[in-house]
Amino acid sequence: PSMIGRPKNSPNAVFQPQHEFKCHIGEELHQFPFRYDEFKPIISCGIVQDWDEMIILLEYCLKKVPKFDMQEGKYTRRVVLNEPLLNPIKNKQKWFEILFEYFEFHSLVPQVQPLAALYASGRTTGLVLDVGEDCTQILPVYDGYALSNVMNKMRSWGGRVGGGDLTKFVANLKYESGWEFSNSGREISKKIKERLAYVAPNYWKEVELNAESSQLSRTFELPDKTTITIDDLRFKCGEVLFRPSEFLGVDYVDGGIDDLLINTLLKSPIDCRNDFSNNIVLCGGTALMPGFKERLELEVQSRILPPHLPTPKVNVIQQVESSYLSWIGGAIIGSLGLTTHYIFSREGYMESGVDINRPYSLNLS
Amino acid sequence: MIDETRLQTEQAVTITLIDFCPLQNSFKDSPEDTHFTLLRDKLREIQKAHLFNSKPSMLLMKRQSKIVFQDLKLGKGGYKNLLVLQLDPSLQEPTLTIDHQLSQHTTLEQLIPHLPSNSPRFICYNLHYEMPSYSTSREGERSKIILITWCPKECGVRERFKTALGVQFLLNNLNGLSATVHATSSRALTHQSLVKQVL
Repeated sequence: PSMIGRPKNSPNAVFQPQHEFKCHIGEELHQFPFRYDEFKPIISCGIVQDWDEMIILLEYCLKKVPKFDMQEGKYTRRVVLNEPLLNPIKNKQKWFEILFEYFEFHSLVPQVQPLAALYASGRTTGLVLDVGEDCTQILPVYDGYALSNVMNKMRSWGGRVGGGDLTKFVANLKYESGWEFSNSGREISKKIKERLAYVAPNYWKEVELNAESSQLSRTFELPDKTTITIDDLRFKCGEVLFRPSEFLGVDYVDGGIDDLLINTLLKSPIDCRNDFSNNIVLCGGTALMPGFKERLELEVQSRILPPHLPTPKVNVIQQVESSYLSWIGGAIIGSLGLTTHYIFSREGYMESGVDINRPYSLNLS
Repeated sequence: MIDETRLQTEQAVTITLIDFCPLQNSFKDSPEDTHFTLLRDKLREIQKAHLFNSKPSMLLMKRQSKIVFQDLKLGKGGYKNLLVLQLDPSLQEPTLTIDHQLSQHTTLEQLIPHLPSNSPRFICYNLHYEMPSYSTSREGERSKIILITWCPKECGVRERFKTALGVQFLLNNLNGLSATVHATSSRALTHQSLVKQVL
């Protein structure tokens, strides 16, 4: 949804009067049959790439909010900024600048995404694994205190691993097998991923099963009513998350999601490990992939043995609303309307600027 | 980090108790008594320091419920084994109050079937258990107060979020809770699993 596209043929008189915007944002991109000149995401891994486009996006979103008057609202409303872990200071400062100086909001509550997700799942102790569109992050929290020395992000040299990489992977494999989707290709690959992909408990067994029979193959209908069959792509797509360096390239140095989870568990203090392994909260859309939860439980149980994990019981919590869990958490923080310790007011900002050294948003109360 | 906050909350609880203690009346009766005036000044200092240090919080709790919890700790008052708290839906601001109906049960086994299936509860439970011994002699009985959060899967996200805030609030404000247990179903609340958490 945080995509922006500028049509190639925008001066065309036929299209011009219908649309106020010269660019199209979010799901509009798929509604109008333009060829887009530029077609790019604005935010990548929580870091804004182009701030001018970001302002256009924010104005567009605020127009869509029901019962929100821009002139009235801007001096009285509080904004909750849900940011990823290890957000660069420059990015933070720019957010403050835009929200206070351009939009003139009343106050700002910065909040870390995984912590908001954990609270929204009703827990104060747990290990949050956030597998999002373009970023995978992990944060252990004990009794509301985030263990910030253990928190981690999965990264490659170029970018971060997430659901977007799976979509690209699907598109590439389909291209190899002779299908080239032109304009709406990304959307079709995304649909294939969401409907048919799954994570196999044992990858090599699945490969053997696929070679022997056509039990795993499914058909998918394209927009022009032709059908294609998809077989090994289904479980390969899920496996990318666990072995990214084999499927996507050698850039992915940190290993898969299971390595990230196990490393974090082993880095955290031994007294907390049982509480963490019993409360692994999944968050983000990719975490809803079928079989993902079971595979994670299996990996942790088989790879961490009793001296390192006092009782080998692993419980992964997957919720229906998991894909928007961190947003929901942020929305609740905003709507409770009560005072927290971490409010940054506009007055304070105008007087002394951003004080980045102030204790920052890792605890709620 | 956790130890520091425990110290702070200890101070907070003692101050609230002093607010209600009958000694306060005697301050008013005998203002000339030097011993009491000294004590009163000290208390005011502590109170001021507490006000300065206290963080604004997202929840509220009635002082009465704190006193009842203190009574549970000392083994007196109406509730000796169980104290069930709830987020009162009738009040506008989220406030923790005592659920008197559920608190009347004496053991956890009696309470579990009566717990609501769609709203959260906080249970302060006085857990009595036999200390496991590694020799032939008995180690004896112990008792500890634990905090059980009852948050079934049918709860909405907003309720769940408030539950998490409530746990944080209770840990900061009630002194003497030795463990917290998160329960989504009655299966997690067996005697053995609770004892494991405490040991």
